[in-house]
Amino acid sequence: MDRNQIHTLVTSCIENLLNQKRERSSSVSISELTSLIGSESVLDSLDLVELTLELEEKVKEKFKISLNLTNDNAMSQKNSPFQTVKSLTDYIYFLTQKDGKCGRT
Amino acid sequence: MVNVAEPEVVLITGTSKGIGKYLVEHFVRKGALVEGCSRNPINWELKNYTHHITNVSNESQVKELISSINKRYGRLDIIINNAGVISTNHALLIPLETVENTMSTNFNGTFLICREGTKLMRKHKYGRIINITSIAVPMHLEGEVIYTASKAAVEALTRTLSYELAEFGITCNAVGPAPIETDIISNVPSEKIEDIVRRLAIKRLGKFEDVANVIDFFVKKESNYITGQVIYLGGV
Repeated sequence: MDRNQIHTLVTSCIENLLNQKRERSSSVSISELTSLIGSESVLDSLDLVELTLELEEKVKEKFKISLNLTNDNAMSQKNSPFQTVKSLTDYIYFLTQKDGKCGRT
Repeated sequence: MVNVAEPEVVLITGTSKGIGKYLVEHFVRKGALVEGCSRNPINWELKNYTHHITNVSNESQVKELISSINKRYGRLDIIINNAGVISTNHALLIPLETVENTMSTNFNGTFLICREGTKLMRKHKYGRIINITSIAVPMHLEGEVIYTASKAAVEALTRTLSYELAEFGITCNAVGPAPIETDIISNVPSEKIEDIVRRLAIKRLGKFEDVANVIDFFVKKESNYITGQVIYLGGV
């Protein structure tokens, strides 16, 4: 599993989530720099919950890895991994590459 | 939305005996597919009932329980958080271990089942969660301080979850039984039980049917505008 696969997964989950909630004619384009939290975010708080659950499920389905994206480390980080598509992708990639149990369930 | 022709999938915790076992039989009679759990094996079986050995305060076991239900049915319609423990003692004599065990089972267990069960319920934008509390909370029962505190926490969880889960089409309510003749009160002195009954508006011990009656109301599809409510039995 490489980072590109994770980036594709993150992007498709976000696009699916947004397209379910918007008219088809106004679908949002997602890039690495797209904000996921804060005033520039394309997601509201409930969207973020849905995205987190969806990603945990999809990573388990596709890569057979159980992740806990909302573990204490993620929640306490000064620079939240949920800031942008890039930071979230990097975070998931990091968790899936770790030998330790941090983030894995 | 759930197809009304399909049987509902119901998860009940703490089903080895007492209220939990009664509710299993009740929902199976109503045509539901029931999944249940307890910390120890059971010595009975029932068609359309599947038992799991699960400690509800153990996060990985709860995840495994919900995963098992997902694999079997792909959905979950109703959760009844019934698993609970009680210990009777004056606050000054309660060991910390008892506090941790009681809170872990009664509150943490309820929370974990709600959290993991909701992840499955939200896929169909429908769910009914019923948490079992107790009249000990409004009565501030002496000698039951940790049990009462744990159930008060369950009630706060119920009310707050009702807001957070509404957008998923899930209602979350609680029922607080009066004392019922079960194992959980067998260690409570009889004079204390009698004193509690005297303080109720309807002066009798509760029955399993009384609890099922309220749960039936909460889980009805028509009860989709009722959430965050706690109903106590006996008239407190």
